[in-house]
Amino acid sequence: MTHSAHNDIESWRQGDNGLRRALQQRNAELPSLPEGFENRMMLKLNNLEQPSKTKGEAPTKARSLHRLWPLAAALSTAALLAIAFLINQQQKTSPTAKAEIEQASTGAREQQTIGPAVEQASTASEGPMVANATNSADGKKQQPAAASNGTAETQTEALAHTAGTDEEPQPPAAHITSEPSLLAENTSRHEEPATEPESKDSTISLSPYDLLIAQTKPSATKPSHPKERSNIINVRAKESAPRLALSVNLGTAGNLLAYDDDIDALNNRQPIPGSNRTQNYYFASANGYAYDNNNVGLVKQQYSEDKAAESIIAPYHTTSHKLPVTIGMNVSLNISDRWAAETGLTYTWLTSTTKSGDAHHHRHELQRIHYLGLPLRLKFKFFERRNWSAYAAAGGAVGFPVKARISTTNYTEGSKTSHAEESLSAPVQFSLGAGAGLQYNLNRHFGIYAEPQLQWYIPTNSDITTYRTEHPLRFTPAVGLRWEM
Amino acid sequence: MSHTRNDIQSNNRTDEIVRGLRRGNTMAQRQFLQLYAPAVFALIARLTPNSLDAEELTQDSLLRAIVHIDSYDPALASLSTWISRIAYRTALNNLRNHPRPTLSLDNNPDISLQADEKTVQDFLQNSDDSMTELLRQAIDYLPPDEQTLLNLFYFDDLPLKDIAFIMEAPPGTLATRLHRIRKKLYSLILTLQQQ
Repeated sequence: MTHSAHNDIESWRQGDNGLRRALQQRNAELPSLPEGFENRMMLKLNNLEQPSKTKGEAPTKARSLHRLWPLAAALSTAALLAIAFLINQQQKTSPTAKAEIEQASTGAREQQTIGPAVEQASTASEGPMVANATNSADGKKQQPAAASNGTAETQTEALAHTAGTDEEPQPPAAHITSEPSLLAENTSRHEEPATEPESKDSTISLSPYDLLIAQTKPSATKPSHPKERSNIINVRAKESAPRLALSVNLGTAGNLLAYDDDIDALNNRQPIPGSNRTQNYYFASANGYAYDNNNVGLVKQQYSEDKAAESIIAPYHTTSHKLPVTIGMNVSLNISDRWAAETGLTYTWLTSTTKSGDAHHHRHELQRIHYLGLPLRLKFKFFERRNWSAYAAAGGAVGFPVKARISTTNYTEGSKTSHAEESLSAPVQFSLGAGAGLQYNLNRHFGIYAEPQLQWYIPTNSDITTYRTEHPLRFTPAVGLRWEM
Repeated sequence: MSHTRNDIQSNNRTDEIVRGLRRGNTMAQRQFLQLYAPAVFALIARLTPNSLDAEELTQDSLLRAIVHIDSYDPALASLSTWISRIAYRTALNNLRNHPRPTLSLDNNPDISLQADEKTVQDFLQNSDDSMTELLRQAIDYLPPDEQTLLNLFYFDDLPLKDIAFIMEAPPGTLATRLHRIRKKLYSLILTLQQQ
């Protein structure tokens, strides 16, 4: 267009006032955007983001198993807690009390003797409550005697295995008559002759814990069968310093068997007219060529449909979030025999890929975010037997992004044209979690554990999407190795 | 061309919205709708008599824009211009199924050819009520693409290059069309006056 022609046109714009006025009046009578349009539109967009199965569209991805895992995790946790509760209830009804002090295989525990009365009791053969702390020759567990309480119905708390577990349970015997400040004299009702203690060792070893338990409330019931007595909660004798446990764990968020979570956020796949192609992505353009993309790049196919005036501009945009992987190291400190506080450090990898394109251009984006996490939890051990223990845990964590980058590669007509990397501003991620764990102790210090957890990642205001933003409530089957002091 | 502070801020905001749309960000989608839905609706409503149809076509246009956001190239046109192109195309497609009434000019084949530029200019500069009313009626009888050209040029005050992008026609072609439309309006008004 020549300069003079351009000037003429601009003079029309300024000069044709009548025409301008007519247009203004005409447009003023037109309706304005209806109220609620934005909300209706947002609903439509949200519905679009759900894959829909309609005729002519490519089949949606199959329903992945991971959607059922939160329910499975909740049920398994509830089942574990119920089992532990039942076991706990059963143990409470056992009259032979609760504390069983394990006999150290190497090195005896610190022991305290309480004097000649104890010795006297031990030699008096007063029954099953007297036992030795040392190993018997046959290797059976022997427990230091627990002092009896003052009342006739005593001896529910302190217990000892009789030498020879096949013996019939004997009423608590303890005729320990020393130091009234520590022990109440047992004017025992127990007139039955006591069995011989298995060991000839006259030393009765009582830890402070035993003494403490000896002063607890007695039970009136008979001692249970030795077999039942074995089904007790193991309570470690208190030591002077709190025990520390160090654990290393590995976990993956989500179901290990789940598919990669392909989120077809805004997918507009159109079939090629007259084509029997069954590719996932394919689209037509006005120039008579159709493109499909399975991975990276474009495959150009010509089709015979007449070129349409209106063409489909951009056919697809898909985002795929990989399953996050977390490794961590935790330190727990026993607050009491059952309760422990745990903290530590975790490291998580979040990877997402986005593919989008149109008739001529294609883009591939790779987003990688690394989080350093600081968990804080409370743990409650509700079951322990031999080498097994079970616990419940709950708490929260905060994750700090230590690395967040996105690399973008562009393709034109199937050829790479550019590549760029830039940093992202990832948000601090808070989360809450609860779960139950089962641990098997390989030896005194080492154990392996499995700890299914349910975690909720609190939504942030960031526009970065990751696996966690798309699935904030996740089941995490963590496994690990624990070392305890 | 120098950019004002408002231009730069506006461009930055548009870039943020585009980035958010590409990521499927809900907040960006909402901002996008707030900014562009009224203008898109206005463009479509000028061509679509029914309000419900206009709303539906507006939804389709905005949806298409969001779905195809990756094809948006800021080097070619601004986001509003790009969206207007989609809206215009959507409205045209709908009109193919809903033809508008037209007034035949066969009875006066020579009037348009006889009018010179000066006469037409004087005619269109006249902004009294009677002439304005006649012009309004005449505009109704124009085909949709010519109505759109007039609105984009006179009412929206868009540069010719932007109109060319929206209507997918070269600027020179549009200039020629404008020239022709102005003469046609003159002829239509004479026909209406005779009727």
